[in-house]
Amino acid sequence: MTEDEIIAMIRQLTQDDLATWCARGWVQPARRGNKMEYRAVDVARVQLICEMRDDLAVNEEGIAVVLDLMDQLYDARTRLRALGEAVLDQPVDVQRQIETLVRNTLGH
Amino acid sequence: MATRDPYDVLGIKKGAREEDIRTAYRALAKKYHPDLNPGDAAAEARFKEVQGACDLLGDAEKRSKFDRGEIDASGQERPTRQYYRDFADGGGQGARHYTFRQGGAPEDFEDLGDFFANVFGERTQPGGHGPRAGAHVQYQMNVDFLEAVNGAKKRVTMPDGKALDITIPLGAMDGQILRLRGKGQPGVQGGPAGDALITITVAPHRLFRREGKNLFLDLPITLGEAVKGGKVDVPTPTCSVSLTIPPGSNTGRRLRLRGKGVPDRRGDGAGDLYVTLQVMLPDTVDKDLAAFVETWSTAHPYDVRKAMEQAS
Repeated sequence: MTEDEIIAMIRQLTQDDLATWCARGWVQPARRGNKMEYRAVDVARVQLICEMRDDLAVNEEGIAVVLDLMDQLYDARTRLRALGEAVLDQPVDVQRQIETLVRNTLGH
Repeated sequence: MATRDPYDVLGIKKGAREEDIRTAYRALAKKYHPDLNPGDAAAEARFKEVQGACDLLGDAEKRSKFDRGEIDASGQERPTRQYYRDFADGGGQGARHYTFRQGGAPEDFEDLGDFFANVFGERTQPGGHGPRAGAHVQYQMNVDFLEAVNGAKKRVTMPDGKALDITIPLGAMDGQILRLRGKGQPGVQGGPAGDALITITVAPHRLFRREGKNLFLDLPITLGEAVKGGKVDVPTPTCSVSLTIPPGSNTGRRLRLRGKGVPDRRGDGAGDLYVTLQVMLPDTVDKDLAAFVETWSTAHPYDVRKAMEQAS
């Protein structure tokens, strides 16, 4: 999706918003030639930022903090999922051992 | 699915003011936004319900029609859309490239191995019985600048007297943690041994400076090389290469040696080596040079500080 298309699609979004957010690294579209290409993931992210600003009344600093924490959260979840999948590839008795250790460590 | 009463959804009374609707909506939307609740499958349905209720009650005309019973709460649901979490939380590539960090702080975990190390490295000893893995052991190791850039094999002697062979990967970074599986404390009752976690400290280099994958080097050149141009030998991390200096090159001119920076172990392109020229006078300015410059500069005056005057 081009810059014009994404601006046309998301009502509250202006060209200035998009330029600012890209400059801050909040949105990182792919470069294709000398144009920017907004992939589905970029569009979803822009939509989220718009909602935080317009619907949730999160201010600029707040948005930066939320994005930062959100990126860390998703990154941790991705790693945790990979870890979980690796555990599921182990023999059942190994899985049990890991489960016990994790439960003990977490205290429940 | 039967549509709930929008007033119930937002948790407000029939006669609520517009402000109260907005406040209730904000609070609930913050709580249920799917992107902020990646692990909660029900959040999306709740969020849409809240949005629908706000679409209806936030619009004065629709609200009065609803209050008079002329329309019901159905049809307020927004169309299905893709949330950010659908990409970021899929476990695939998706939004994996998005690690926006304020202030550009580095990633803590270079790979899953480091994640393991950090998650399980500092665990408290569980009180359970049976076989248990040995504890991880942390070490610190100094590495030369070029060993880190080019990769290296090192043999170190551990505190217990055992020798350990360590492979420094290509392009290793200062502060990176290397994990040697099974080289930590032995396991308990047949459990696997822990890992050795080695934090490497990269020493600075006499000539090169490093920023990520790129290297920077100051290169002194003679007055003759600056004026006439020419080929000079430049050190790179692996060998010395010939660099062509264009005629009339000034101090501060930066030339790029593509691919001569830090090699890349993932194979998506090595960094570059940036060479900044520094024009050097000879150690002693002899009579010939002094006489020539005297004649030349009288005939060819030029102002190199024009920009500074404008700035003041």
